[in-house]
Amino acid sequence: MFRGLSPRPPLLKERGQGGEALFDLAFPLGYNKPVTETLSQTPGRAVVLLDENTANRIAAGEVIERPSSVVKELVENALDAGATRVEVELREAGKRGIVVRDNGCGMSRDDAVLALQRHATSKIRSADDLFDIRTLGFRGEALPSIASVSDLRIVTKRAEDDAATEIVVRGGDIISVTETGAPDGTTFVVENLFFNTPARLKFLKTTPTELNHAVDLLHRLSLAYHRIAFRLLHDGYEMFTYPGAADPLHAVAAVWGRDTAREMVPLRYESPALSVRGFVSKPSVSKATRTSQAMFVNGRYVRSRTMTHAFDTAFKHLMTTDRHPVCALFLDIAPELVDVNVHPTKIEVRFTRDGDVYSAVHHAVQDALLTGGLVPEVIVQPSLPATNSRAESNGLMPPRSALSSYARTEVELPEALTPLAPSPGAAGEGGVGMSAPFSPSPAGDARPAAWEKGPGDEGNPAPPAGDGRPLLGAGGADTSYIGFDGQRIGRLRVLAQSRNTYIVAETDDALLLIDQHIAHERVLYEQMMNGVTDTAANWGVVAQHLALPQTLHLAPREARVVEERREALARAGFIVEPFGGETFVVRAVPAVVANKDYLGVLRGIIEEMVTASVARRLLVPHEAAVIMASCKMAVKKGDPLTLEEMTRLLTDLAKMKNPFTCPHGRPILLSLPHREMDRKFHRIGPH
Amino acid sequence: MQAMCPRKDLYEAVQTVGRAVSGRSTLPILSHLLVAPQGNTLKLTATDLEMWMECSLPARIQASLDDTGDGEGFTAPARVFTEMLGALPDMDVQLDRPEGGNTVQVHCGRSDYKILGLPAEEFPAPPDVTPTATFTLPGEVLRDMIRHVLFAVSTDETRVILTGVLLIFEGDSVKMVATDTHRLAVRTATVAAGDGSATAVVPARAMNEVLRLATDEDAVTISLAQGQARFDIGGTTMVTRLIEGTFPNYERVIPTTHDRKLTLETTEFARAVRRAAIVARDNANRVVIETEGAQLVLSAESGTVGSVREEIEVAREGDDIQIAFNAKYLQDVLGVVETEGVVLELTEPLRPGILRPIGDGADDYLCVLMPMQVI
Ligand SMILES: Nc1ncnc2c1ncn2[C@@H]1O[C@H](COP(=O)(O)OP(=O)(O)O)[C@@H](O)[C@H]1O
Ligand SMILES: [Mg+2]
Repeated sequence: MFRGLSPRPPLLKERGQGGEALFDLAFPLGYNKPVTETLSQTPGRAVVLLDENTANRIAAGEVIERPSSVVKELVENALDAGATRVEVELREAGKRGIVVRDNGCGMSRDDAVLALQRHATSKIRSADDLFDIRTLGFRGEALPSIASVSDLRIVTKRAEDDAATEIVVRGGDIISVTETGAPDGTTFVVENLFFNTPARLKFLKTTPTELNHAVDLLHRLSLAYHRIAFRLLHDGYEMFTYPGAADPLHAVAAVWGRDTAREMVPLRYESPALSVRGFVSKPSVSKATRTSQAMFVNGRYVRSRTMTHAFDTAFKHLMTTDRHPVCALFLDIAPELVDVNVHPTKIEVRFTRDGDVYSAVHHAVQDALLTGGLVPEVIVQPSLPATNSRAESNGLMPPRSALSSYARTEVELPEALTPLAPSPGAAGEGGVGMSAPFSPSPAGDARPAAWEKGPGDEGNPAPPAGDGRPLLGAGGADTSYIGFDGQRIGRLRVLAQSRNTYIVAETDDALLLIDQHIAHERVLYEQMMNGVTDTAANWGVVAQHLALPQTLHLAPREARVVEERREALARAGFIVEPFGGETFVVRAVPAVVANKDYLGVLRGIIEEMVTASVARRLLVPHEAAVIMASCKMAVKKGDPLTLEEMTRLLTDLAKMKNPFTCPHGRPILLSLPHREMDRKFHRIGPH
Repeated sequence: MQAMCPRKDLYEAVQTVGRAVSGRSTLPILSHLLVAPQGNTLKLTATDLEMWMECSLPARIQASLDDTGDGEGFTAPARVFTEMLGALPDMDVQLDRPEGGNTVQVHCGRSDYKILGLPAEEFPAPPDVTPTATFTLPGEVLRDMIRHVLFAVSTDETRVILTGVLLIFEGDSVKMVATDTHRLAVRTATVAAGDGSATAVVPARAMNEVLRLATDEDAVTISLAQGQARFDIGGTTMVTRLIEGTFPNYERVIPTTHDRKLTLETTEFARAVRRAAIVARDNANRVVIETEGAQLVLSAESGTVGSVREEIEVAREGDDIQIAFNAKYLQDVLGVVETEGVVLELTEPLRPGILRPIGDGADDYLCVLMPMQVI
């Protein structure tokens, strides 16, 4: 039985604290075993049969596990009642109070009282109906569950009735049923939620987390019910408002921002048994997490592996990195072909014909990508000089990567190339088909590789100018550069790029693998830190003001974060001013990215701030913003680079104060000394 | 078809149109040149579907009986064809297509090639340009205009509209505008002849080609149409697609007043900037300029390199000021101004500045520069 699925181990601790409240113990333990048996294990208490009220509390534990579940159930009821506008008001993210108001069909006095009974529903009549569910609710469990764990007040009126009914319920007991005046529709007021289930109360998440759940919920519902007006107030502030519109794209804009909506293409796929509609973003708009992907089955938000997998595969050859496009995807399928009665919160669904769903979603996305002109230019493998040389020498088509300004060609690096902060995991991934893994030396071992030549080696000192092969594009004007911190400088030749992720290079003494993203991140970080000397007074990021200030239309949640963190953004070089509503004006950008897609970089930072703010409500400190910015601006894993770009990157890296680790402390490069390589190939001695 | 012309002429023409050959297209035909007889000339065409380049050269043409259609030519892979012509001796080249198929025979001195082409009728024809405005400019003026604005074009592909030059033709005046959002260059000139009126955003690449193709002596005729523009330069015609979209309202960006005005000697200023840039390079190119009485001090600092201080003479109106600019942006604009002196109009350290030439053509050009700020 599905109820056995909900694990609640943390609550077991309650046990030792000794008989505070019976149901606190019954609550966590009572799922797998018969209730009486569980209770009999509690010392010093008589065995009692659970009354109906308690049973409701147990059920409430499943459907109503947090304030946002109340919001969900009540808003879904409003939608089932045919409302065209739904208003939600929360106090402390619902922990102190929840009001849900709709203009739907309302209930008669009798129905309203009956609806508080368990398994009382107007939506299905018999178990057979379970296989043909066309409404959001059907179990008839939500109202009694909510009522049993809160102070509940219902005011409801049907259009045909003259007066409204007001019902007051406390902890599941009906206190009063009276007549009152009210507009058509239904209002639920929930207060003191979980007042009689302290364990539940204790494990409620922080207000911001709960609030995010509620916002997410309304976002999803407005995507699915784009004709309905939604409004969410929190402690008097408007968190989300959507007026309802015939065009679903308006809902997309309200949820994810106008800029994102503009980058969405419609999806459409029809077959006799099912249809897929919705929107998917062009690959240029993508997010680090899946939070901006919403999938619905018959209007119900779901998580479906089948659908996600079909979606991802269709996108796979477009997104080389592990980013996720934005999407709102609606699957409409004959109700008898889908089972939503799998999970108490109805978030999981089971399809009778999984394969059909998979292929419908896959085709819908693929077709959109093709017909919407979304397939980007073929991703060029690390180009041989010949492939691109014409275009580049003419200055016609600048390479499209974040490094496009890179043109110079000599590189010199300190020779102490073993990473200072080795990470064991990184070594195995770096493979270029060699059985000998690149092994970072222990942190302390930063001696230049040349010093390590032992008697077993050929014994001749490293040739000063390499093996006679020309350095890339050898112009040789800039070869007199001396290194940092007394480290000797060696020459470095870029050989290739591996998996569009690692730069393969060699020095006179070793073969190197360099993580392009981390290397670039380090370069940008130090550039942004103004090539800082040790004097803090010198600190500062150089910002370039814009002649054409750029506007940024954000999603409500992003706008809130930007509002809060304008200072931190400014410290990273982005001067952003509010322009009313969710719109901001960007007045200045970090000089380092002035010639790149700086709005894209800024959006990336904002996105990260949004996710970070959910986890911990910390203000991004000064330097963290710079680190974040340099990370967002850096070339990504998966970006193909030309030899010139790679060479230029390494030239810059060589100038850094710390060319060995990224600002987060990950290693930038791994080296395989030639000596080591030769030994692995049994090539010791004069062959 | 049989055609004969001097190797050198053909080689030059092939190199000229070769600039339009697509570098990375997946359509094979786009890596080819179209060679077609037209009266007493051979017409060469290349395109990447963004830009078409056509060039005609005198040749002796003989149509053979086998020819299917009039004026039909052949295609040849641009790379091979160019390399071949570069290597052939300096004599007449004879192009022959005896079988009327896709193979062309090239004969020159004692060399014989058979080059495999593609069906000529598959070669994409240039779009019809029905101009809404046509005007003619002396090559010298046009080149000058392009040079004055081209450096300010954006290279950021995410804002496509800014990767082109805005061309506004109205009455007898033509204006070019470019901006990368950090600076804005506006150049105006009077046309030699013209009618109609139009605005267009021409891709920077096409502008570059015009700069390269036109000589000071040419008279260049520019025709602007819906979606395309045509440039007739000597014997060469270039058709380019225009960038679609709305160019930002650039006039709003240009400050209409200023409190301070610095008059500087152009080359002296440019040299001082260049010297300061050597240090500024390592610090986001930031150069601080500051007035001290009759001196202008340029300075730059970098944590890794050190610092620099340069002094030059300045005639100042208004209070002292300190403001920072990107050295490269100053260098770009100072590199194209040809007058002896320039003025820099400023208001405040975080407000835009304008650089203008003084003397001849002072009203024809300005460049708005946005300042930098250390946060
Ligand atoms: N906002 C509302 N407007 C009208 N009727 C409602 C509303 N909320 C609940 N009801 C009625 O109460 C019944 C019980 O609701 P609920 O306990 O959520 O069960 P379910 O939604 O599964 O039927 C519904 O079937 C419906 O008839
Ligand atoms: Mg319900």
